[in-house]
Amino acid sequence: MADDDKLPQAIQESIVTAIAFCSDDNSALISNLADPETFDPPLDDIAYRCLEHRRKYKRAPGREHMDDVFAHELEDKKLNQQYYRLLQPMSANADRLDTTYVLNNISDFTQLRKLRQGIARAAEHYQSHQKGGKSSSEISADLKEIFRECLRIQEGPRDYGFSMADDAALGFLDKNPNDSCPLNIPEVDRVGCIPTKQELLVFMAARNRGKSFFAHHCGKFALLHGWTVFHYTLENSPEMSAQRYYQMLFSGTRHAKDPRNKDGKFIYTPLREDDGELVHQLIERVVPINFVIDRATDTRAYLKRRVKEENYRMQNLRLRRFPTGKLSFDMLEQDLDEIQLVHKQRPDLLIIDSPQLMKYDRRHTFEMLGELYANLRGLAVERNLAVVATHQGNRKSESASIVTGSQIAGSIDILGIADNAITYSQTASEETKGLARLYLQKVRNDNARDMVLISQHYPSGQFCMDSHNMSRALRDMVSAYTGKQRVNDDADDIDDDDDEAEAPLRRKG
Amino acid sequence: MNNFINVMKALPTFSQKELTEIRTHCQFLLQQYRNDTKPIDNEDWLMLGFISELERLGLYVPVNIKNSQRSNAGYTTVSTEVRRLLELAAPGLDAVQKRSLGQIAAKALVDYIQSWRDPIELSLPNLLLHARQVPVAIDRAYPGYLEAQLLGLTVRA
Repeated sequence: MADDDKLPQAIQESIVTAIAFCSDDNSALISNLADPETFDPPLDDIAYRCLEHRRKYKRAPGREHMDDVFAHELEDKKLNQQYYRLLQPMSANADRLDTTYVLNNISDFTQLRKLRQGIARAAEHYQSHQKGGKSSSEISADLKEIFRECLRIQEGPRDYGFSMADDAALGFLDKNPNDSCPLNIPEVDRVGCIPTKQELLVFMAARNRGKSFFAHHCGKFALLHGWTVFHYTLENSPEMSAQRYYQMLFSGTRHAKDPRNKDGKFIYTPLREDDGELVHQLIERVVPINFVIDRATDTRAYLKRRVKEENYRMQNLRLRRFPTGKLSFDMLEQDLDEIQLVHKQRPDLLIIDSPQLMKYDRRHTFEMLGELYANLRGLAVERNLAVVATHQGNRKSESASIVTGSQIAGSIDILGIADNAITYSQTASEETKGLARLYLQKVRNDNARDMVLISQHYPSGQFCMDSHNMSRALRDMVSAYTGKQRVNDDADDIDDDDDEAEAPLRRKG
Repeated sequence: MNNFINVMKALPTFSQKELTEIRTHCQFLLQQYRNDTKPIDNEDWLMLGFISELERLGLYVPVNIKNSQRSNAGYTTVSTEVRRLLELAAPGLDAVQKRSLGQIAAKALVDYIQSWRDPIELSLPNLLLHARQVPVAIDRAYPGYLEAQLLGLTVRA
């Protein structure tokens, strides 16, 4: 075993020996993990036949039934010598075989064999289709697909779950704070409606209403949290995304002269004082502006200096741009694998802005969109990362004063698949005041259906400056006055001031 | 009280010119007294908001509102009720901030009226007539703020 080159051959014989002659627990696991297609002939045939026997009789054929399983081969003069030469030493070594060692090495063996098969398949594919007149781009796409399948990274031992008697069942008490990333919105952070590893967070808003800003906000705080962030944008250019990140991280503005700035300064009115108590005095704070994008030379010098200072963080943020409708889920996986291989980077947070713009069969939008989101959630679990996806609301959400989950564009399954979902509502009046509301549509592990008021400062690229929970202290009084009936707190029962609801009032006018 | 009796007794002894001067002085004092008993906190900041919004829109505002038609009958009662509700929804505002809230309420009402399928003419009498719909209009512009008592934030933001 000292010679590494001999390992695959030796290990495959050991694997087949375990399948054919051993009936302990380890060999049962080996049988489940083994893929006969990865073995050389005739070991593949032996493995296949023995696995069939195991499936039928729940134990290895062993020495007793080897003659029965391979009766035909052993009677055949030609095959007899070949099979006998293999099975005889296997049978002799079966008692001395360390099945634990074989079990620990079977994943590496399978991975290596799949790689070998992939290379062979790619070469064959290349040669056959080059003659067949396929275009180079088509051949390239096929080869990429083959390699992606081969390079799919499988790590760690197979997980068989745990029983409630195991210590692992108390794992929820050992929650790692680094598994989730607070968004600096206390009301949202408190209930855990935040990017969390192995979970999918969907952010929904009407068209052109701050979805990308939220994605950048998540990226910013994940970066400050020490996470590695991959931001996939299918809408904005990477330059625009980079600009927003710089604005958010280092507080910069686009224009020196902005209609919103007062006496040359950006003034912001905080929602509350430092002691956390809401006050109604006109307290103004100056938002520090460190760079103005219009002043390119100064800005370049400033940002270069800041990036140099924060280099250890900034290199954790990777922006990827794909043309709209060109990124498929398979391509996304392939891209993640390639970046891991080439740049040795694995994301803790994957931001996709937005999956709706990814490549899928648009003839079956509802089914395919649901499947895409299921795949994204699967990706989060498989690769132990948090996924944040932005999603657009439907036509009704454009005019809705409170955007709720029922106004999601495409499949409603998306909200079923997502672990956490936030909707974003903003009326024209609120927009002028720099206010907006976040509705916690779905929270996997805590109370949902809360409404959070946030104040924003878009001139300096800040999605949220302050936040405040919207309780319903005057609910009954307001309902009595306006004549609205609010039956319960369920999301879809929130009154939406649509045209029909206001019709009686209008007739009075 | 003695002074009052003395003044009343002395009044018939004054000439017409003196009585005219006394009357002018009394009117001045009455005006002062009225202003003292109606501090700025009790002003109709909703009405001021309507006037301000109409002026902002460049619309004609009648100089003497009292002489306008009966269309604003009952406005005082409605206004008091609406202001009370808005003050509950925006606790702790000072007089200046209330004026600002009046402007926000007026703008919300104007937007609300204009969103109707068949909007009515924007005028002061019409705004006064529909003053009772201010909370509905505000709830449309700032959904949930009334209930959450966060309306004051619209003044500050």
